[in-house]
Amino acid sequence: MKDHVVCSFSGLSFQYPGSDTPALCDVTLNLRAGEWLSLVGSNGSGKSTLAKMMNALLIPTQGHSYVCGYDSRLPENHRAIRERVAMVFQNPENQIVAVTVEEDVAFGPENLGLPEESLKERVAWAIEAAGLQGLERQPTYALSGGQKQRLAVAGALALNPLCLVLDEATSMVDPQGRKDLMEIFRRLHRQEGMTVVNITHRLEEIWDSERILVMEEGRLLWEGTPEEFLCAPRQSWDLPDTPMMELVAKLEARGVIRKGVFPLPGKVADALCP
Amino acid sequence: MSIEFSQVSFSYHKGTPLEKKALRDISLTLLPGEWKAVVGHTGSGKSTLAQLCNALLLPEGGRIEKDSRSYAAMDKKELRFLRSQVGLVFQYPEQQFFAETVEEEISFAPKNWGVPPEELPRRVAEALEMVGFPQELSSRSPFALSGGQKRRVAIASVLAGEPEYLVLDEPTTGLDARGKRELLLLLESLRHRGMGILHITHDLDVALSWCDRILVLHEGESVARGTPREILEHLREHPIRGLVLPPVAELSCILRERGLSLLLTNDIREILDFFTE
Amino acid sequence: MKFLNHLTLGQYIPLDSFVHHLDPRCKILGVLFFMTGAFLVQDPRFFLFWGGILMVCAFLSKLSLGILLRGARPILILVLFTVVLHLFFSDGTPLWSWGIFRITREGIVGAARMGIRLLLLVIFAGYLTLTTSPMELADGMESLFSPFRKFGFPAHEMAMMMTIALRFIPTLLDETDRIMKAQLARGADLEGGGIFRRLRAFIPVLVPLFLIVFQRAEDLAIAMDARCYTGGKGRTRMHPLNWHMRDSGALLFSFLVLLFSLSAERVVF
Repeated sequence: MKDHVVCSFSGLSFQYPGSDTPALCDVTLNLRAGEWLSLVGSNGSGKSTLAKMMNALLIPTQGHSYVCGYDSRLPENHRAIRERVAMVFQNPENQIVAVTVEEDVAFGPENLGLPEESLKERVAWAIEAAGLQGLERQPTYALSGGQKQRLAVAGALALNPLCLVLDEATSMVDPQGRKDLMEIFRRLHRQEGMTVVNITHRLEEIWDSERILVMEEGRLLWEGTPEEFLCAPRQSWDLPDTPMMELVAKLEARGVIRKGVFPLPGKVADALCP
Repeated sequence: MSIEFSQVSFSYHKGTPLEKKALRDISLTLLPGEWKAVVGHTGSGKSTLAQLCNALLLPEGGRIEKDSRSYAAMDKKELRFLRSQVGLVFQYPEQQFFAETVEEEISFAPKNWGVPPEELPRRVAEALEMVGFPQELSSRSPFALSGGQKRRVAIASVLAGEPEYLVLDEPTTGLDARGKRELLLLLESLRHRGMGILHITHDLDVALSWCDRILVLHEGESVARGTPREILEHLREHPIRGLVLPPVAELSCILRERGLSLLLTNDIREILDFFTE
Repeated sequence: MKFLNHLTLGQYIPLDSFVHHLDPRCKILGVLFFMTGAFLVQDPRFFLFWGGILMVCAFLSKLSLGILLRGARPILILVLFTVVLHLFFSDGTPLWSWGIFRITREGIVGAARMGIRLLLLVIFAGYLTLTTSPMELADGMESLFSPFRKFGFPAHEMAMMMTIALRFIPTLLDETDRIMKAQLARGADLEGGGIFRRLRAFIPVLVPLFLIVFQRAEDLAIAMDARCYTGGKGRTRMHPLNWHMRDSGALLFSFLVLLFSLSAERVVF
């Protein structure tokens, strides 16, 4: 499965109609099945635009874009693409269409025309995967922000995708809600082999990923693993370090911890030199 | 000179089957030049507290006073004046924009408070200066600004009323790391100017790093109050579901558990200092 | 503002009753038949008959008349107002008068008739919404209107719009409240003044609301696209509508009631 490519973008360029600067400039990317990719950059770097290429919500003005083997520039392929690459957006409120939790999760598979039995199975599975068991009949307006976003995740999972794209899915959620969401993504990645693309400006979230892509002004600036990220020339980027990253760098410099430690509290504590 | 909450309680839908006690026996004092945080997860009553500060809601139990004058005793005119003295910035304040220019948007509050038209440009200019927004852009549409700029204009629109106190409900949500830092620096500068700030948030990281004193709410009740360090000590003993410790604070807790005798902190300099000794 | 939430959504009370289990299409048509029959009430003495029908409805839905009337309070005030108007301002042989007010025999009869008609209308509409969930109602309407698709009537789109609108009513009410409070905090005066001044004062509430709604529409459309929504064609339902014998029976019953009320009044009275 690891050899299977989910997204194959080459020379991708895109400009929003009416804009004078390109949103994406000559982006080449191969997203492998089962990988966890973090896409980081400040606002306006093009990461959301790139994300929308992955499920054919946008198609490139130049370059090639294949998702699961389907050419995303052909409208007849869009349904097949969106069944395989599901997306969760930033605003929890503006993704929910139905009055109850169950009905909203069913929206996606109903659109796919699934028969009643598989519909019910899918919905039950998705609700459980998102940690919303027991809330099936709850009215959606009464959910908390974190619960609403988990509902959006359930709605995406109900399509039975092989890839989940999170477009700043945690930025409008409170810290506990963010923690719950990240835990769900980790579980899906680990247990179901879900390909995860996390678009975020929060560097706290990139340490789960296998690969990190940094974008700036529509271009791919840098690519590498989290370990490599810690050694990368970050000062020139428009991405401030988190306090933890700063602390780890300084502790390393003073020889208090071993080199190459991840800025996670547990890892730092373990890495103390005696 | 202060705002004082004494044993304040508030319920929604009183007398109906949906009655919900949002706040119970809350006491707190806000002084000028003080930056106080009220921390709690969503649903802990924080937004209710914000609206009680400027009498948009009135308490069902207890008393709220400004400079020893009770809100309940105020007439309509006094309440209006109160609202100009206690500015309230809601969450995602840029959602309240309606004007065609930044200038018009910021003039809205002072105009409502009865400031004469000749005075308005000065108020607008001062408010923009306080938030660090370039004067040249004041004829721009508020909708054509970046996220961080919008946030600043929204705060300026409240500051134009020249309030003594500023109550902010989750002012940093939706901003990226840079925008968040700029906003917090802005609040610090306001505090230096003598403004009393009540910062209501679920972001413990901000409260611990920037505020003088913290009040922790849980399900409408106050469960802890004190300096950032005192709050950390309390949370280590009694963790609260829904309040996530920021990574640096978490690290200091883990190190303490391993036997290192450092003070619990969310400040990386303190941790670094501990190791350089 | 928050109390309105349980008027619109809380209208549906999930119970395990005969009426609750009826197909929504049957209920919509049945209620229409009842309402038509009710509106043809000529003689107020016919209320005995309708009283009996209501008792049957109350029994079969496990919802007493009291629950229904409590939820419909604002509408009942309107009904009362109409009845009172009828009572005091009709023509005919006066029994009592004072200034422009007069009570006539015809007035009493007319007011009673109007009152019963309106009351029955409100009650039947209430039974429909109390026993049928919003989604079921939308599905039922969609199904009933689908024959008109041939003529270009957008049955599915109408049902989709209904559910989305219902889903967002509480959210919009909360947002309106929030924006009003934000503008009040900036000194807006939303209460005083004449009609024009009040309308102008609401601009700082309406403009932001409109913007929120438009942004929402755009975001929602994109989210729906991402979940493979392409309109009604080929869509299945998790809870599809199934017509049973009991639905035919209930519909026949309501039709008979209509026929009876059309003819019986002339025969009996």
